[in-house]
Amino acid sequence: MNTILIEKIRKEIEALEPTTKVERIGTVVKAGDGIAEIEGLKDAMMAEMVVFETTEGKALKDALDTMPPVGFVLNLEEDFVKTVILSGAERIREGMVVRGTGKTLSIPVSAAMVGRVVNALGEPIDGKGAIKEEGRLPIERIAFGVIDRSGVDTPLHTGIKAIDAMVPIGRGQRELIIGDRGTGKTAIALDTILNQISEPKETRPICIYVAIGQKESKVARIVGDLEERGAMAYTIVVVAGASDPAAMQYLAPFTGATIGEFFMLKGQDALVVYDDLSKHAVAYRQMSLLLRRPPGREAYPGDIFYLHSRLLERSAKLSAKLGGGSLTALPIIETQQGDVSAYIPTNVISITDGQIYLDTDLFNKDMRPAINVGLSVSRVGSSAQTKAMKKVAGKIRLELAQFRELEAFMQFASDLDKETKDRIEKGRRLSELLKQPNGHPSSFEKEVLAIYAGVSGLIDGVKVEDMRLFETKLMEYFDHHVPEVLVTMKGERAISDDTEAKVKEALTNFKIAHHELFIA
Amino acid sequence: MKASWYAEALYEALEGKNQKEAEKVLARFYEVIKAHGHAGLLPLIPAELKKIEARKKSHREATLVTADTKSRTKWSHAYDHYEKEGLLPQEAIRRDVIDETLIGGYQIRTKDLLIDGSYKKSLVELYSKITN
Repeated sequence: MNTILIEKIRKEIEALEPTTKVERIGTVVKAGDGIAEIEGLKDAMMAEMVVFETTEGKALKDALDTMPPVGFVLNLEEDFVKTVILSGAERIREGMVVRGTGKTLSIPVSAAMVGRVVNALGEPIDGKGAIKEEGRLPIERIAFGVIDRSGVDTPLHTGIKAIDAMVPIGRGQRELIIGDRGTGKTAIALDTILNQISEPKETRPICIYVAIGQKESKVARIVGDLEERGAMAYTIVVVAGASDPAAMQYLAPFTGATIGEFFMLKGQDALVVYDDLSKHAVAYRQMSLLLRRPPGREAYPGDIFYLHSRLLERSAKLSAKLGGGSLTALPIIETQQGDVSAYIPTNVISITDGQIYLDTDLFNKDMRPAINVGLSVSRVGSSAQTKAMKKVAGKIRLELAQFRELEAFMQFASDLDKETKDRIEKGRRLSELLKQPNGHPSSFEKEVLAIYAGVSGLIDGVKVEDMRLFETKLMEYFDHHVPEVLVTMKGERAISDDTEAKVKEALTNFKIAHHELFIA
Repeated sequence: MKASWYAEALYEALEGKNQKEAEKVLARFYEVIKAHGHAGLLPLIPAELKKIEARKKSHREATLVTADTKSRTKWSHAYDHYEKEGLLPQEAIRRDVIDETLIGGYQIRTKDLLIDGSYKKSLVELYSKITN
């Protein structure tokens, strides 16, 4: 053994003076299904961490290096305290001594968490070693009040044209992604994370992806994708998988929010994706039923709304006095058969500042991302939209809504007037323009350019099936012939008259250079 | 319903009752449990009552744990000290227990308090301090 270490141990043993510690304890009366009922623990607090004493009666050598099971208090009753076991549930026995820590559940936080995969307790699970902690933050905290906040005024670009143009998201906003299974909810959240790579380093948000109740294989694939695309350089993944106890799944989004707040309080921007809150609600229902709390609608406990509202209220754009940081939330909700009027979807819809609704029918019609423009809304994002996007995207929402109406009408009408036909054709082209493959977010200036080309009438002569080719060629043309226009738009975040004139000229030249794409 | 719930209710109802009153309570209890269709739980109730009694008894106890009999007298003064300080429940019944794994020192335990002055605790703390 290292001589320095031996010397250190020798000194420590020489200086050892047994001290007396007075601790609050309780005794396990019942344990099972991840819940322990404890007698004693006088003055226990809500959400207090408790430690189960497994070393009692064990020889010293067996008592060392034993990680004791831990839990936290969720029910305070007249004679008993009910705790949820977070780890080592299999080692808990009736009559076991439980020590109160006097501290509410907290997790370690640090900037070194970036690029790491952690569990719901903030412990690394990626095999890359320990994370040096900068401090600990309580997992539950009261959200910032009105005075501490400022308005949402900075955009968070998702790189998805349909969202950035029609359902813009601002930093500090809570935008729900809702839809049936397999409609691309996670894909939208991941594209948003991937797109942040195009942001300047100083304003790039730290992204936190919280996987709740998901298959470990899916999470491994997501982490692999993020790593491959270089997005783990600014991302933290919090995992409470399908095989983890319900308590860990319940805690995971709060852990994500706590990590996000750590960066927000440092004046940075953070983005947290909760994937998904439907599974979170199910985990909380399971815990509540085991804790014998009275069930309500769909057997969810009465405080399920409060659970999600206190989580999502923690997203904020802080005032300049508090550093101006922000925490944006993208919660995900899975619907059954497109039913948005179920209990949990309606709850979360009413809590958030808007929703992106993904439609199974659109998905099956190959419209990807399958965003239903009519049902999707962003209540605060438009004030955070850049001038450039506002200028070009003003008309697109209306045109698409009209197209969807006419499209339905068209199925029953054989003869249509020219104006209606043109409108339908334009709608089709615009829909095609908004299509985007998974994992290919667009930069802000290219989104603006594509939409400008769409609404300015340039696409009018393009065949619907050639729209993707048209867009590729258009971007290539601008990259090679007029890159300064894109640079100006990126820098100014607006389209000045001068820039608009240059864009128009370039578009005319493009039409001449690529006449084969247009119908004569 | 569980036998333990009935036992808890019965234990509370019987507390402080004399023989005659207790008989009345038991008769009424039998009627209630039968009316609820839970008479099948009756054989389990005495065992649950014993558990409750044992638990209540332990609540009145304060246990002094030492590593050996020799050190018991040495650490009795610690017990007296904490008793005077009011940390131990009034009229607590002292129970002495030997636990060799403590190595040295003592532990005083009540229902909701642990006063730990054992060498084992200090050594475990030292170990985690060094290894961390």
